[in-house]
Amino acid sequence: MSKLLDIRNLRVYYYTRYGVVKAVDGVSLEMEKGENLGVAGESGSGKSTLALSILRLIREPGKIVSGKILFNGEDLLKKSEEEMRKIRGARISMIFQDPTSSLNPVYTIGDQIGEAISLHQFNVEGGLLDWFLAKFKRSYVREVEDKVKEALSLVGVSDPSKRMKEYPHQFSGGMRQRAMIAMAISCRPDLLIADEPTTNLDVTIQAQILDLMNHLQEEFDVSIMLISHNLGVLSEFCHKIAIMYAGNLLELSDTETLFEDPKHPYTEALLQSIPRFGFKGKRLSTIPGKPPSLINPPLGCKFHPRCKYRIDGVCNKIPPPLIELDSGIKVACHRYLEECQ
Amino acid sequence: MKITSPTASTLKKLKENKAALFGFAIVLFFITLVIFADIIAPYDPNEVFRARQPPSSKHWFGTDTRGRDVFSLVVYGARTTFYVGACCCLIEFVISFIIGGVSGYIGGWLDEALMRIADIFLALPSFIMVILAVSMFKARSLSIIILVMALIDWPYMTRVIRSQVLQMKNAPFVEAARAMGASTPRILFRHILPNIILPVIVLSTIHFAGYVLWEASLSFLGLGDPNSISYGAIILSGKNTLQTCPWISFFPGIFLFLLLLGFQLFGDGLRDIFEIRV
Repeated sequence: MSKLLDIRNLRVYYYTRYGVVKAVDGVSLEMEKGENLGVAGESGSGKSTLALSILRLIREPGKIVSGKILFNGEDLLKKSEEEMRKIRGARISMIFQDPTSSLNPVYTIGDQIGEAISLHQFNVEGGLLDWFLAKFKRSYVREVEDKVKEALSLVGVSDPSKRMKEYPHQFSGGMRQRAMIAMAISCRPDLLIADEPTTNLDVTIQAQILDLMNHLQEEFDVSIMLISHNLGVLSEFCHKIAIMYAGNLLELSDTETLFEDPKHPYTEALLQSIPRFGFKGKRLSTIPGKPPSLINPPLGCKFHPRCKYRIDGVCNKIPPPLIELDSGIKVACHRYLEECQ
Repeated sequence: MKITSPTASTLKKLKENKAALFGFAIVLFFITLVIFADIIAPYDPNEVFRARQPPSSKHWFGTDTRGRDVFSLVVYGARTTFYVGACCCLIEFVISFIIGGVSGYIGGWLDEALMRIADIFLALPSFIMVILAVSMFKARSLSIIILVMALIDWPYMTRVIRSQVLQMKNAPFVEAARAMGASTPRILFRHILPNIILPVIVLSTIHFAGYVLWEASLSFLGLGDPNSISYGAIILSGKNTLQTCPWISFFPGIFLFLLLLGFQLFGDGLRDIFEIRV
């Protein structure tokens, strides 16, 4: 299997007036083709920043400071804005957390999916005037319409020719997310980044959306990077899971091993804080302390103040490198350094 | 509860807002004048009769010092006011959207520079600037007056548009459009513009009245276009005979007052209905 995405030592900082926020601080990640990667972490751990930087959508005051993002072997950070625009939506597309506000309230669903399609499939990129004029060509309009209908029926919207003429406020939350997925998948991308796609939906709809994404993945061979703070969702869906904490990647492991034999103390603590069946009567364990400040992170391993295995004099001095264990699991913790050597 | 469409609920609010409705009625009245001026006006505005006739059944509003029918002048004058108001608002909007859009969306030093320039304009008394600028021209056509007024008054709307763009640019659907591969002009024109049009319309309604008043004031000061029929110019022409023939200045004055009142009330009403702060 060839590598679809290879992030190397990526650093993304936000230059705020309070100081430099190191949202992503030296993350290296790999994704194989046809593989689903889950990225988990608590709020502010840099998951979304990581996702946005893959598409180079980081905005002022944020900046990608260093690193490489290789997509099919090409470094996305070296591309011009023009070239990036042709990749966004066509080869890498993204689904956002809140489908309600991710759709423009003044256009119909069909209009918005049609825009995504015409941007990348009908060579009218950028040329606003060309695109406007093309609307007067009947054959063109019909062709786009057909593709919109096809995209909508793919994501399970019934009666697409009627619903494509409706506005976002006429859609329910789950339907809106389906429309977003239709938009994202309409150009058959190689990589789909889903940033907490199910967070704002209720549980039954969540399951439907995940099923849909599973189905689309099988059908179109798209790789999905699913970002979530819900480990349950990730465990159902992903082949591999990456655990992030305070801008660092702590552990990258295949899903089964992660749940059965977590290597990093943070992962371990995280798994213990998930409520489970048969847990009756016991107090749910939590991770003591709070997430560190990203402006003045603790020295050494960023998790060490909350870690119960901390080795004084090591963990609070030297940041642990990401090491690959014999089993192929990658972990950033000093406890495994010896095992590795 | 009955479900109402946004259009229906807006119309209901308009109905409840008596002041806005009154303003709207006045605006409609003037629009009728503008469209059907040829039918409504009994005479050609330049046709000459005996001068200084008082109002009569033949000349409802009398005739002015040059013998023109004041009623016809007032009816045709409405066209000039609408022409001035609409052109100024359009030019102001185009300038403001480009400057405000670039300033708000791109930001950085460009935003800083553009806004400081806007501040300079805001610091100067606008109407005095307009008088100064217009009096620099020898041949004062209506187009020059319109351009000058729009070019001096743009910072108000620019600031409103900039603040709206600032709010919109972080909206998730803008982010989603960027992730889809949309270019900056596309995002500005297609995704942001339709979403900020409401405050622009409200502000335009109020500015419309302002431009009309400025043009009338310029004409009253003798700085208007001599070839156009302007309320200000008619009022000026009756100034010296105000004691003997008050109808010459009175009727255009009343019409100008009504027009301004109408637009102001309608604009304020729209602002309340759409709950916009500008």
